[in-house]
Amino acid sequence: MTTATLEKPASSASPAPTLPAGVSAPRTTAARTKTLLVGLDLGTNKSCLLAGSPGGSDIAVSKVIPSFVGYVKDGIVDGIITGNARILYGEDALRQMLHVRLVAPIAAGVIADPDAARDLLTHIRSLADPAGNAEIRAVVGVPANAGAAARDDIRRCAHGLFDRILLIPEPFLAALGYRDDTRVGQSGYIDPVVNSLFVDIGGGTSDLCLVQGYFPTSEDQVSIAFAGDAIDQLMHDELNRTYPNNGLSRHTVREIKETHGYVGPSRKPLEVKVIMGGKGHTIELGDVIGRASNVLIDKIYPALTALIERASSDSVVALLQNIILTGGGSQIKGIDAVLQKRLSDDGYESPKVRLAGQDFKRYVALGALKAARAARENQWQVLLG
Amino acid sequence: MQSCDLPRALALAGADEADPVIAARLSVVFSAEEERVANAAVLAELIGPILAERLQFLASNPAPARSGVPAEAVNGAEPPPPHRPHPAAPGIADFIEEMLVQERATSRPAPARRAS
Repeated sequence: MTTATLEKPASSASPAPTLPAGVSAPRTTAARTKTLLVGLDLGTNKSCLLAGSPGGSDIAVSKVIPSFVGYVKDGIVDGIITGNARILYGEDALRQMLHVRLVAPIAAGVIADPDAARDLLTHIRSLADPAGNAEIRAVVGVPANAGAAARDDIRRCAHGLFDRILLIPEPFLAALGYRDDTRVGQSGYIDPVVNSLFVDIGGGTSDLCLVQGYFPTSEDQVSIAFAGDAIDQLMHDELNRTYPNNGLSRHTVREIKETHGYVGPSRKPLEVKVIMGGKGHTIELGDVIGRASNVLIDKIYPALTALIERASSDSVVALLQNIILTGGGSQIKGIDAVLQKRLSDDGYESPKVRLAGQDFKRYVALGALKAARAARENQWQVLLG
Repeated sequence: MQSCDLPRALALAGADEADPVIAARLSVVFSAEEERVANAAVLAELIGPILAERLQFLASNPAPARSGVPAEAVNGAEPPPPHRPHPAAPGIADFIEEMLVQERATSRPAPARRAS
């Protein structure tokens, strides 16, 4: 899949994509009635879509969608599936997982199942532009240092769905999204794009990025293939060792982690009620959760210090005051305090690690939408078949 | 001023601050002043960044030679400041440009080795 920064319309020579029922096919360029800008965070577990018009600051569409596609199994009786759809997406797919073959198109932040990824992107396009008559220009987040193959996979899946595309690393987009544009230039406001270190802990990857007023090079970014899903796996494995045949699904384990997850010293006893074999049981999971979650700190910390040491001596003290955690992993209790204490204990000068806040799900997509609004005409990439 | 100069001025004018009429007039004056100061603070917050940008631009772009000076400057009026969209927007496009330059540099094939 090649791209070109040209003014050519998308090629019509490639075979038309097969669209699910109820989804309008994008019209030809000549029939486009408007342009819609899309900021898209294609996450391993959750994707976030923001869309709006060029030249404005409105957000016309804002959706967080679980990154799952469900293909309805054969033989399901009519009326069981809403609208007798053959493919379900997001929450619908999870809700009816008993009746579908559930596929996670994204793994470790990159496309693992191209067909399912294309179906998911088709669904996302229909959410942004239900009428199907807009020219869509999308900025899509990619993991830090995503390779050429991973980028090509996204472009291939997006061909025919998005008219123009730009792929930008997610932690940098998180910095853009987190930035309060109304306060840029005000005294006392530390612009995160000028001097910060962003740590985006997602489901598949934990991405770190040094942002210091220039576009980060590959040496300024680190992507670690250990994040939320890996913690779930560790917890699941230990639960199976301690409570054999417990029957707890990965989904249930994830819910336990999202409710009780913590790092730092043991918070035993941590009693959790679970259903095993149809019966309610209260089990103590303090150490199970703590051990699994603390591995994340051990993985992130060396990358964090490596990036801090890349900063110049003139900027590093201010940088240490501006370490920001975002992504789902930022919700693990105590993660900011533990990282801050570890930096302080290791002698770093007055470090301050803070959480991006409750809007963590949207920052990458918000940064992507800002980038879409700011991109110059000749920077957009056209997908060639 | 309120604690020292005002009583002195009132005494010179033969006015008594305790007089209800005087007190009411003073109250009106003070209210107007408070509003004026508040408006000035808001204006300063709004134009402060714009002024800082302009000063930075002028510092890095000294006035051109006489023949190139715009008519408005020759006539004494200042030339209009350059169009600067919101600080956030142009910076992002520049970042994107840097990213694309990096991408093109990494996708360029390595030069062929010469036979030794």
